[in-house]
Amino acid sequence: MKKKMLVAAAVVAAAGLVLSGCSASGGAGDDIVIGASVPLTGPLGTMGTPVSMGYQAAVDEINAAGGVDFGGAKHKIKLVIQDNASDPAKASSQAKSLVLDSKAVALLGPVTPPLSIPEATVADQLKVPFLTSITPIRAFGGANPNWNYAWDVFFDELQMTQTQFQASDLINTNKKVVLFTDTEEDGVVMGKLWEANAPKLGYTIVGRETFAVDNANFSSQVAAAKKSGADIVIAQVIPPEAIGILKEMKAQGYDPKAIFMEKGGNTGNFVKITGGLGLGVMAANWFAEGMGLAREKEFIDKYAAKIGGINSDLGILVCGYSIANVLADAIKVAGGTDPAKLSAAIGKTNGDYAIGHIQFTEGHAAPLKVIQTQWDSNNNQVMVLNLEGKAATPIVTPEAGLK
Amino acid sequence: MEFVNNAVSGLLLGGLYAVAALGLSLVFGTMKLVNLAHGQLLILGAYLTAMLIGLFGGGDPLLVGVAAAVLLAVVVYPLQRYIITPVMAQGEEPPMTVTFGISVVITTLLIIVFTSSPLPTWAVEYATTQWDLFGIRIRLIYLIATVIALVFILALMWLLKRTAFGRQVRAASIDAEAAGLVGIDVKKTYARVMSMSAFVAAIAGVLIALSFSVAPTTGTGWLLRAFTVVVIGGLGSLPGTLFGGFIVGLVEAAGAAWVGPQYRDVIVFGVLVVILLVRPNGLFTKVAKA
Amino acid sequence: MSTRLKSLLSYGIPVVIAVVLYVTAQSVDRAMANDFTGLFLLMTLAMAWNLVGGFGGQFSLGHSIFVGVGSYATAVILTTLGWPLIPTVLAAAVMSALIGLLLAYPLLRLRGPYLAVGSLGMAVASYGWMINWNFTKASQAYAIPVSGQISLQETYQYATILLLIAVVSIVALVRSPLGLRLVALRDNEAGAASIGVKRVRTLLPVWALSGLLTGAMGAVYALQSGSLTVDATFNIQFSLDAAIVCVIGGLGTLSGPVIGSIIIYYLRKYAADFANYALLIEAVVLVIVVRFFPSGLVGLATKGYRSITSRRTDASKK
Repeated sequence: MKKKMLVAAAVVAAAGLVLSGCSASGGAGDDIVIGASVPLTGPLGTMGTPVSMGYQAAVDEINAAGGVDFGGAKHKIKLVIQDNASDPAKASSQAKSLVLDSKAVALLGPVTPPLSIPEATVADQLKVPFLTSITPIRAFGGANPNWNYAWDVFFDELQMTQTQFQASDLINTNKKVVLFTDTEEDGVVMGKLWEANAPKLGYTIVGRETFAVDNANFSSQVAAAKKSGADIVIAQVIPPEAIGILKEMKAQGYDPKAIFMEKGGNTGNFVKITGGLGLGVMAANWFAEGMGLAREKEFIDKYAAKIGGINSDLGILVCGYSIANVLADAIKVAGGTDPAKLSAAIGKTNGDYAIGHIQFTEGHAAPLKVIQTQWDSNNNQVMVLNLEGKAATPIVTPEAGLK
Repeated sequence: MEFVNNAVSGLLLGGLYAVAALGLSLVFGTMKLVNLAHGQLLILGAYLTAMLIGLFGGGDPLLVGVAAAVLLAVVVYPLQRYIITPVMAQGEEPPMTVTFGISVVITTLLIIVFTSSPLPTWAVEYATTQWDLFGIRIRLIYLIATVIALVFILALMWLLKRTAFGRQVRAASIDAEAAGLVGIDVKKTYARVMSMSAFVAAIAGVLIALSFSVAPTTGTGWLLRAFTVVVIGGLGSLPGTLFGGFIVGLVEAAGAAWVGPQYRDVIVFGVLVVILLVRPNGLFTKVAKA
Repeated sequence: MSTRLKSLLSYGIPVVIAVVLYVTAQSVDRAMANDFTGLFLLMTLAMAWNLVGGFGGQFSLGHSIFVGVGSYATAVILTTLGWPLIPTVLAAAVMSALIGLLLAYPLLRLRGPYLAVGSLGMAVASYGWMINWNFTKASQAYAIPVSGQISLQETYQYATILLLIAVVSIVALVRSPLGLRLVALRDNEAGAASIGVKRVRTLLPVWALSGLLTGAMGAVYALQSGSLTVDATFNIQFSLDAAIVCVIGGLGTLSGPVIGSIIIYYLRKYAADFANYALLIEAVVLVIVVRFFPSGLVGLATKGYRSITSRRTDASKK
């Protein structure tokens, strides 16, 4: 009995400590509180981590310069980042709690539609400006054509789904394509666009393999793809699925001339986590060496070593950095944090940022143009198709990792 | 031909499922414990192996995996002895809840130590080798898994039937109280069984990592698969586990071929539910033990 | 205290509290309204689960299906039929109750861990179905059309009514002859059968009520979320959450889920800044509670209360 009481006391004390330790996390003083619920863990943790690094880098820079200037004074930004563990329910409840409890005046987004859309919905519900990236703009607009407070900066799937064919034009193939798409927003939207774009650009879709997210076993899909004899594989998957597909392709001896793995291939260390199988896999990108962005070199020098290469992790970081700056500039323009004024000011953004030119269109989205890149053995993604849709570094074919 | 191919690959994949489920079956058979942490034990086995490979500066995953398995067996012993076993007297739910708690602890610790990205794949030849026998595809790693499943099952059956330790385990599983009265240390026996289960789980985890990919959160999916295998094979029956694995593998392959691969889970778990309803104690148990 | 007064109080107190909360809801700030909505939804979920899992001794891992059905039914009815909100929520709850009957009927053949595994299988199969079903937009987000027009305070009012209905109906059921039969069946099935308690006839209505309340909870959860995904609704985490809350508070007690919900809800809320460590803390607390306080915190409190107030040695148990 005594022993139990002691343990009980310990539990209560521990809980009390936890409660008192964090109850002070609300807004303090004159600081502007900005919240972000991002996936630092779970299947999307590999993308959430660099985006939050980008947010933090921008905020640190702004604060080092004294803060955001409005109303005749400089205001520091307090960035509150929470981990939603790639869970949409958690993302939504954290976004709410960041606004209501932490008194965030604006939210920076997570990554990918399954997380961005629930958070954007919360922002509209609570009437708080929300700015996200790494969420393709048609998926964003498809979920709600009339966003009020939610804004998105990322590529347009229409342009993005042409780059795989443009890159394939640079090598010699039989022009037959197999698609691997999952059943969530990106897979659905991009799958349709690839099917629509292929004939226009001279390609034939000979197979479309679909699967629900979190699938582990791709044996029958890969067998079907191999049977179709396609030289080109275009996949829209998350990282664990990318590994599963590559292993199955290796096992079944299916080595097409070009493999595009969108989203799944946009993971730093891709070659390493696939045990080398991912060497030569291509993926659309929004940041690469030689792309021609004004601050390209600066970011490569500063973060490439930290991130482990010049790859889409760095691109995600730059995206996060850029939208955090868009938000800070909008606060300055709006002259404060009034939600309606701030949201309107975000919408009027028209300027050059680290990731390129940002200007919003009617659907509350600012499209970025993408290029195609290929994984090399130094953990870099090398540009093979530039912003004009022309050849850059020659494509290594067939995909080296599967040989 | 494609039909035969699907059947063969499904069957061999079933061997992998059987190894993954073996530990779960063992624990359920001897102590009627539904171990919700089993999936995480599998994954932990793979991570420990990766850690040891890093420590040794190399080595074959399956060989190093044996060392990792021993390590895991040592780690779970006190967990069973001092946390799970004491709770088992309270009924079925509390131990289930405790094992769920343990599974969350394992996942979270893995994320904290290794981040949430997938474990880098080991580049070993046999992980992605596939043989072509008269037009039938045989993936080597599944074949290895099936052989390992067979070896483990035979070894465990021998251990349970022919050794003094096995007699203790069986006595404890039939009537723990009576076993205690005749001088068997039931608590220690239970802990040893959990250690054995963890040992097998760790090897299975390495095989999973070699065949697919492993991340801190993939354990749950494998736990569900393992459950299906164990239920179909008959909860607690070791040879049944192998058959359960084969059936799940075949059902998956057939479902993928005829209905569509995206409905794999619906089919597998639908079959699970139907079998439970028709034979509440599984397909391979003769006498219903209430 | 007379039994009559006692029963009057046990219904009267929740009604009075709920009325006060309902009336003052509009003057509460958004943060508090949202907080209480979340808390009340967790309480309702846990209480509904406790009916089956605690009082009935049937460790269901299938309750996520009810949350999913309730929330998706709400979304689909609002979108395609455009019904007003309250009939929508009622219809969603009824639909979920029907599903409850449908699932329970076969599940009742199973006992103990088999029931847990069987219900888990059903939950995973439904998830697998929903993630592919184009009618509910597969794994894409499904937006709730009216969510923008409902204030947080209104959602909070719905959650309050829901919780009141849950409390009153559960107290009534537990105190009724049906409730007694339910507990008898859990504690000693053979004994209960010998005095004429029928297993299926006892358990079916209990599952239906549990499904009804959980489905209604799903409906209000849908309003609170604004958009649905299969991942956020048919997630087995709901069943696990309910079980954790009840185990920590006290399985098969009326106040257990209430206390458990408060602890878990605020633990999660305040530990959110610690990212991974939040889950770690929760899991460790869970293990400690089960290991050292088998009857949950309610059991602990009752014991403590008894040892302080009563001088005579407690002869009950052991």
